[in-house]
Amino acid sequence: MSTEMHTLVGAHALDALGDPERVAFEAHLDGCPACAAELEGFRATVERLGSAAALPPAPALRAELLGSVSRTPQERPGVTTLARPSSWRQRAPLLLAAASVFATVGAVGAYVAEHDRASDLQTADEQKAAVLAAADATPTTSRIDGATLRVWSSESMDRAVVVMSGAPALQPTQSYQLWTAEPGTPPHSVAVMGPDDLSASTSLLVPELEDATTIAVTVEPEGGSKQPTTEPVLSVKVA
Amino acid sequence: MVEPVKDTHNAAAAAEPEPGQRLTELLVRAAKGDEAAFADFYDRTSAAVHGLARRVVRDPARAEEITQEVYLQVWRTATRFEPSRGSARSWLLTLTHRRAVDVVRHDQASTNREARYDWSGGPDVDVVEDTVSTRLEHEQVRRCLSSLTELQHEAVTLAYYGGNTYTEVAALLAVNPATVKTRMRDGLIRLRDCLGVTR
Repeated sequence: MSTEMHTLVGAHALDALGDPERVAFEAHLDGCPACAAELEGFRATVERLGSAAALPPAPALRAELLGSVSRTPQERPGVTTLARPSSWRQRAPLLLAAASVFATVGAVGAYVAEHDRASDLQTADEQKAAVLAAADATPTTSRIDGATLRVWSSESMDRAVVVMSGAPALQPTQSYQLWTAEPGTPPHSVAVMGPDDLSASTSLLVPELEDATTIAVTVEPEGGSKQPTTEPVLSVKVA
Repeated sequence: MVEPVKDTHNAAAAAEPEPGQRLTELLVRAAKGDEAAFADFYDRTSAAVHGLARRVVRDPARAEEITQEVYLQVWRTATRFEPSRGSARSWLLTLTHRRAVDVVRHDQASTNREARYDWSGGPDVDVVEDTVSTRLEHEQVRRCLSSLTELQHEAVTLAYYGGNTYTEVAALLAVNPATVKTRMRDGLIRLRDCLGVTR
């Protein structure tokens, strides 16, 4: 448990972190049961602060809302993670031999915020933020041996944001490669990340999700491959 | 699981399961498309949602918008609620607060919002719903907030009720940001223990 990160539990419960730190903290939470337990208590505490401010809304709001509700479709459960790829275990010692467990720093938020979508996007970070802000952005997480792949996919934007953290370090002659895949067609390469491209937590934009049903990461020779040459080390099913 | 109870929110409290469990049950039913359960859920929680939104954004029209947005989000995404990770009310108020804070921070970018939020230890009495349970809640929260050090109190309230980030709080109070982070955590630990929060 990182002491530095742990001090953020209070600020996070109060929604007092800026977006980059919030993402970093939420990535950290995945591997920090002590932080998660403390956060749960803090959430229950701030809930009391919130309840103490109770003030009933105008009665008209109720009818209006219930009218909207009967016209609003609901999300269906369906978030799944792939089973552990079969060959991972055989390759794990090789990869993990060089593994350093990273601290976590990231650039995206785990909560679905519903604010207005920016129409004029400039930077990659803003593009990622726009995906996270999409009303239908759905988070999915896959976790294997301390490595985490989190994907927020938005069907309406046809985009996804991927954050990989805790991944084993690469040999200088290796790269991680990110793929989108759908049944019946060859996987499509999204990005190649060499050892120098990786930070503790690496975030990427998938600019075109199209009909992809899976987002996966493989280890490839330096510079990447046209098609995957190894089994995925991490993969996530997207809707 | 408790047998579904067919009464409405104004039926005798004695016939009810524990309120938190009841909310969870209603939310689980709402997740399956039960609009009546959702309406019941709204009736039991809307004062808290609306009051919190109003407290943070202060603008009555925006507070109502947020209330509506939050409940629609709850309706759409109710299947994401995980009872094992906290209570339904906690989930709901987390969504509400996050949304209200988004609005405040968005507004801050375009308007000259007064950054410092003066909150003297409890919600304004004149806008608090005049029910016994709310008054008791209010009094207990006020009492516990007053047990914090001044810096803990400011850090917690400027963030939670004012919608400020910890770096903004640090700037407002002219204190080191690292200190503010620590005081937020210390303050919440003290509040948690004072309020007798068990989970």
